[in-house]
Amino acid sequence: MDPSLKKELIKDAFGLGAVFIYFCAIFLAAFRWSEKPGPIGAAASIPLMLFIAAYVYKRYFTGAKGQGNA
Amino acid sequence: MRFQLLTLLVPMAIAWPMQMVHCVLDRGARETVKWFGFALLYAVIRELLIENTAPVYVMPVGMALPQFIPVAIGWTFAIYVGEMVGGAFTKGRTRDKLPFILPESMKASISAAVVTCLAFSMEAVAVGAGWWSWVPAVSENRWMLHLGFTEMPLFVLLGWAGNGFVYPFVFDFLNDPKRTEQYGSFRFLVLGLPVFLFTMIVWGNWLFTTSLKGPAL
Repeated sequence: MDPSLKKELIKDAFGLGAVFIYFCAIFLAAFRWSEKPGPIGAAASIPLMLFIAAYVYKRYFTGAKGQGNA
Repeated sequence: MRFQLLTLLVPMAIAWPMQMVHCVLDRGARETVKWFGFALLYAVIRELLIENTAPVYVMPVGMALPQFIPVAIGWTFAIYVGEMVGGAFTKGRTRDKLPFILPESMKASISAAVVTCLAFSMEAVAVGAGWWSWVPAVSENRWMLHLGFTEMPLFVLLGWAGNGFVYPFVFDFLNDPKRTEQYGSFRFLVLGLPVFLFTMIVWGNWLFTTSLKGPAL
């Protein structure tokens, strides 16, 4: 594996991992912990998911990988 | 500690350090300390201002921590997600390529949109999960409730968007190495805090006291 790609993947494992944990909490709150469990609360996560998907696309599918955000 | 609080604080205690590791790998330790240090300071000041001027929400009784600590960490988490996504989309864009738009403002605008979406997702479940509740005075506008969500006031989304914009913009603007000679090593603290305080007091109180809360549905 390309070392720079590996470095970026490790970095995003933390950045996107944190967002993944956030989504887990939101989905558990929507389906398990809420007073009125249901999918509509989880559906509110879709706009953020689109942004995260765009982030992944931008980072790994547009030739911009390995540049960082700083 | 109540179960509802654990469902909020435990994910936060895992995810927030992960963001710091991401920031260290991305920018280095020095910038990470600077970014998170000032973000936390900004969020704590903002939260204390809200708590002491216009308390609009309460977290469950029984929390071992003062309320401003988890709230400030939550703000920092949200803003960093915006920073991360906005940074990916504006990487490499300089003033030469964007003559009419400051790169900082473009990044901050994307960040504001991301933070708003994050707020929308979180507020949709927060009250139902018992993470916090809105005081009746501000939950009179129950537009989200009519959509099947919770009773988040409309102005809260604008508040989140404001934070998502203000912090990345001010941080990047004042942290630009090209401006180092102009402002000196304490430029961020000296110039940033008054901007934050002014923004929070004016923006927060204006939103809270005007009809931007929206019509009562």
